[in-house]
Amino acid sequence: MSANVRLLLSFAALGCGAAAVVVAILLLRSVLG
Amino acid sequence: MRRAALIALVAVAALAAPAAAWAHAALLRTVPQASGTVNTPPTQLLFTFSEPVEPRFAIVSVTDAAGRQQTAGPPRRSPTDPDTLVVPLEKTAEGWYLVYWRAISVDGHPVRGAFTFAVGPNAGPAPAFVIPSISETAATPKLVVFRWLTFLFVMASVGLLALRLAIARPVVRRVGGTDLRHVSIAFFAASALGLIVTPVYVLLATAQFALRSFFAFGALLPLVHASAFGRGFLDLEICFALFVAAGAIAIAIDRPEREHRSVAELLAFTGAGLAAGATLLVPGAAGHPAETSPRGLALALDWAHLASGSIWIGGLIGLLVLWRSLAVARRTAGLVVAVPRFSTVALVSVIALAASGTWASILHLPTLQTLWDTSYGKAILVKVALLAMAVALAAVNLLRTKPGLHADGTLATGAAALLRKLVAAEVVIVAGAILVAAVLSSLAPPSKALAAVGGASARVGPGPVTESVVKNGYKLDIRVSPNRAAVPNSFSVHVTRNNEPVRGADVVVRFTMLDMEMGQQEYRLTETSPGTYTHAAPALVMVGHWGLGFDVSPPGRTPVDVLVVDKANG
Repeated sequence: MSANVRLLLSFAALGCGAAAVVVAILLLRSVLG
Repeated sequence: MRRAALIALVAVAALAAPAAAWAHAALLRTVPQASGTVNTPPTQLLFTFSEPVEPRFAIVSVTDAAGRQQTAGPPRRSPTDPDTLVVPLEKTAEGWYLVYWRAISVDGHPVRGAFTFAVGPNAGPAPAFVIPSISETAATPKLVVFRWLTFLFVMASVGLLALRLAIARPVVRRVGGTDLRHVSIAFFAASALGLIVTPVYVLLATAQFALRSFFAFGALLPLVHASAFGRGFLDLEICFALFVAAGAIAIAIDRPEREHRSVAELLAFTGAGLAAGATLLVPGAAGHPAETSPRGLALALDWAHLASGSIWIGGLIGLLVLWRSLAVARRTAGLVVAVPRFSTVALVSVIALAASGTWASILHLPTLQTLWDTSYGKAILVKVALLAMAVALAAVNLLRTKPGLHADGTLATGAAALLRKLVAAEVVIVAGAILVAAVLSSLAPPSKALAAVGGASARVGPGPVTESVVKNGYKLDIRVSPNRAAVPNSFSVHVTRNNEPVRGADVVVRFTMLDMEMGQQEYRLTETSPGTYTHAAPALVMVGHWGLGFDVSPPGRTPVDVLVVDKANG
């Protein structure tokens, strides 16, 4: 696996993490009002 | 010193409990008023709840004395107030009506109740309505099992990734010829099962709450999105899927043979960590903790409880997988690296688990007595007992097995074999504790009003009540007849002091539902004979436990108040 592909994948993983955090925050906002 | 610390740890763990509390829709008021009489026939019934309940899950039945249905359509949301449901009625004649309602709380728990009202002016005497069973639970075996599997797989997946990417990673570098492929496979298996079980659980629960078939997907899917409970678990599925994707990438680009991680590995590890943190926040946000004051603290405790539990159960499963996957010649060497690292993390996790559970219990249980008096409290005790057993096994591992692994030859092999047995037993016990947690979060937690029960002078019912209570020099002879829910009951209290009737007192009786959060009703009793105060009202609007508070204020004397816990049947 080339270094570029690895870096690209790592950004994808970071994106997944950030998206999950956004989903959790939106749920919290809807629940807590 | 270490032994003392462990004993202290076991003691703390014995108080562990999950973060969960009340969040049930309470019926705050109705129009026409419960137990009231209206002089013009109502065209609709209004139910105002403590939260916006979904009309598509609500069922309302209005029947007259002959059992004829009086509703003219299904419940719908009031256009002016989201917390209010409107039920259109047929043209009702004079007489008494029984209203029976069922709604689903935001957290997915069903609540039910019944009350009567009369259309006057000549409604006549109230008939003896038969009240349907008012107990319904989200703790059916099928739902509990799927809830358990959802939590078990999600938690195991998070813990397995933590073991694979952080705790057991150095094994590959320090013990030649080993890899962590089997731990990765276990992570993928737990993740796949979690991704399958979560939507199945949501659909099963929605089908039960909406009283529809599990296979009526066309009807169920819109309902999943309509309920806060369904939306919460859909968010869990989304966050968990994102976590699995991030975890898969982190595993794919991880090179455990290198001590230091590359920037790409660190970024992927951070992504997986963020997604894990978000995933474990969702159950609390979609359940009881988000409704428990103080909300921030309740949510943080729930998150800490789930995170520490995940690292424990996932790590234990991962250790078992590692034990089996390592070649016999390298097994002890591999365990010598992995076990001490896991022990340290597990010790911190167990402390966090016990501390967050204990703190959450203090937040959620209104009195210590509810711990053994309510099924919710009993479930907590069972969970605590299971966790205490698991901690005892962990203590043996920490004190005996871990040092044994460093010994030479057969001693180390024996220690490794013992470790496998103890860890397997721990996995079973912790999985059992998660099952109890699934039961616990499906039960209705005790009402805050139960905090007043500690001061109750007597427990009475079911059936007609005749009870004498002596307090502050007064004797109160309390009678409730027939002491049945949703029908007019006669309440009387005969007050004496030194065998002399106490005349001219102001006597008020307060009714508080103890099994769920509801408003309080209050009636003033009238003196019908010297020292005897009575009132007739269908005040016990639900089957269950009621707090009857009698406040007696005699003229010119110190007032006295007496609380009686009454059980009213239908």
